[in-house]
Amino acid sequence: MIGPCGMIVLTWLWLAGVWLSGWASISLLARFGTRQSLSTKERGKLAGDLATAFLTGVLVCVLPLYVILAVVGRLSAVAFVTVLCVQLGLACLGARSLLRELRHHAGRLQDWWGLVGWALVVGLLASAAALWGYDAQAIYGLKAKILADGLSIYGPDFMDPYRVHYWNNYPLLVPLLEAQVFFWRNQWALLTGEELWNDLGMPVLLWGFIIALVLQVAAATERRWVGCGPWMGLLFAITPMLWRWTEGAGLSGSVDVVFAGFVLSAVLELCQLAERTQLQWGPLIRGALFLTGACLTKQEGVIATGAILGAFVATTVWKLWRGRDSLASLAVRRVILSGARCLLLVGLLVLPTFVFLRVVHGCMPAPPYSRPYLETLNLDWLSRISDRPLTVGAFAVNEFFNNRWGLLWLLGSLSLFLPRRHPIDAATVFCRAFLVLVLAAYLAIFVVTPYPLHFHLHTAFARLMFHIFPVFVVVAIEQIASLPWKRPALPAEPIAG
Amino acid sequence: MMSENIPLGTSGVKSSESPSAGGGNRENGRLAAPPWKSWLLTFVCGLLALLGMGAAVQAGCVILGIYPSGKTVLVKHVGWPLLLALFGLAGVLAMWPRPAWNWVQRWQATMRWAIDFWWAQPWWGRVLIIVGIGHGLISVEYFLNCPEDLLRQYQEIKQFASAPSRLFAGQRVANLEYHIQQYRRAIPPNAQVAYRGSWEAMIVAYQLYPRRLFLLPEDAQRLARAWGDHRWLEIKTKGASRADTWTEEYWAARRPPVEIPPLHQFLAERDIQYMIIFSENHPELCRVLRLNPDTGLACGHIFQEDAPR
Repeated sequence: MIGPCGMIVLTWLWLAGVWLSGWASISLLARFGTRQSLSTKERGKLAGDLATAFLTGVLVCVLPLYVILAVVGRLSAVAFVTVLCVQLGLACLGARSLLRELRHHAGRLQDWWGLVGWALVVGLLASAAALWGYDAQAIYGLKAKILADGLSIYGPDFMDPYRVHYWNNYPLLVPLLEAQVFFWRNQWALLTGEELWNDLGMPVLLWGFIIALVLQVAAATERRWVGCGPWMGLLFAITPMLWRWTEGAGLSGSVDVVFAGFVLSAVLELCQLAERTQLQWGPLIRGALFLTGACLTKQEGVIATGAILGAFVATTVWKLWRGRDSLASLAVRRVILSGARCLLLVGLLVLPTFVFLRVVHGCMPAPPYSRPYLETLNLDWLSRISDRPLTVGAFAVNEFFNNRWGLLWLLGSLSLFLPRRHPIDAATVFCRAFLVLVLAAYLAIFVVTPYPLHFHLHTAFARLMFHIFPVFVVVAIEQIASLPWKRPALPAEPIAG
Repeated sequence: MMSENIPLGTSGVKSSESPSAGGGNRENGRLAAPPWKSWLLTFVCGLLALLGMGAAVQAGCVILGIYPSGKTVLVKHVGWPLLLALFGLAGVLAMWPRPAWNWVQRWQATMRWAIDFWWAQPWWGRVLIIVGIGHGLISVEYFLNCPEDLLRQYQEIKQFASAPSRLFAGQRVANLEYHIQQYRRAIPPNAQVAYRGSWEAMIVAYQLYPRRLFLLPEDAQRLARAWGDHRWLEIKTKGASRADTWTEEYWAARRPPVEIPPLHQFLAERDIQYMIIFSENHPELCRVLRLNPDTGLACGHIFQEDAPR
């Protein structure tokens, strides 16, 4: 009994290390002026910073290992130990800084107890679950075991097309995370005489990403709708798809929750660029970093990057259209230049990631059972699938009302049809454009997919919708906050008429 | 009822106001309903609380074995009555006439504000509030089912690991969990293994690590033409997935021909010494073979469903 319990405790400690090292990293960045002071009294800032800290911590412990892997091909015990030592050093600094910050906010945390209670319950579930999902085992878990074992990505495990290794050429961010945990859990297992490669409690890793997602949603709400952050965060947090362990859900071991976390953070950072004409380096760098994280998590990172670049274009066009009567030619030029600058800088910052992925994974052979998407762009195939848009649309509607999403899709969709009290701003246009572009891309993929449509819809649709669900919730909350709500008159106020 | 818009960036309650100050239809934070109505509502809420509490205690006694019952009682059978009891108590407190405690007065003021807020909203506001509450209830249902689902998951794993096959929809099917245990016992950890089966191969590769699994080339080609071949898919789509078979044929026809090496060469190149054969629909075919890498011929069964060695 002490063996499995020790492994779960070890996983929690490692997760705390990731969080604290991330906190130390963003605190250090704040000192160098790329970030505002962490102690500002901006509403919801602590929640947002905690989420940012976790995602930064993940990147801090994964990026060096990914680079070592690209150069050497394998991870040795020295690499794992070195990264852990750096992490622990940063974590000590982070713990001190975080305690100071929590003391600073102590009086304003009472509204957040609901979320804390929910996080504890989901934490318990994560500790009691294993990697049960198909993708969790076949794609990510197997890669994690191979990497933790110190085997080469340029060896037969990744290069032999007949080796049973589902989608051997997928990005390795989550397997690298899991590999570190497997490595340290195996050391514990050797000490206690337990079986190696036990994955009980591994979803604890994903618990961190679920919490980061919820904190981001709560912080984004708090910025626009003061006092409602914790409650809207809770409404989002209780959505079954976010915390259940069924295939594709948050605790299943599938990486969609990780991808969604990076994408939401990138969108929330980069929409600040779209809002202002002046260039802000802080959100730009953080946004590009999170987008890099998304690209290193799933291949859909390409679509997310394209959608973000497209959203910059859409926001610029929208700004020009909004000011078509009032903008002087100089202002028009400034708006266009600002949009082009954002587009260019984000593109340039993320481009090295694609080159890196191409270099590392480009040489890996495609599995013999894979089918090429590019070949679907031929007239013969397209003429045969004319009935598919209807099937995909019907499936999508059915999925959006599936109980595992609760009623948030419905709530958000209803609110988007209601009249607003004030005009929409550029940041919201950016988020909406991103949402529409990604949704259109995903639906198009389902329409042209070379795989059997029913199989693809049943195995992938919910997971892909998970990628945009948090952004949708943020957009929906912004819309709900902008509706002309009425409140009862207060006795102290004069009554009109 | 007079009402006004909430300005952007406020929660609807000004920072200077306390909940007890809100609501034009109250007296010192108390509900201003007629006494008979207040008493009636208090009675109804109290009744609900009592019923809920009674049901929860009864279900709790059955779960703990204090009060034996033939029926299965699950956590949700306690959870929902408990929630009902909680709502009942909240209602009693909200309706209680002339409460002495400050916190009850604050609660009544909050409830009054919530009710006034509800009545102040146009139709769409009430629809959104109802949908939000519906979302909460659906999520609570999932939370209450959680312990049972988790338990069932573990029971299924244990049950499937204890027998080589089971009856499913009138047909005998092989239990993968059981066979994985047997493979672990029969095959040494450093072995290279050929796998003949279907899509469960990917799961077996994870479960059997550090043993390396390989698909034989003809099996890889077979899988490439069988993306939609899943029992669960057929059940879930009620057979509609069979309509996609043409896509398998279409892409199989476009696939460039693959040169398949002789079996003994394939096995020798990879030093494969074992072969797992798994067929979910034919448990009698499931077995592990020891291979001669030079000839590719089986040296004998290591394990078979009916005769484990």
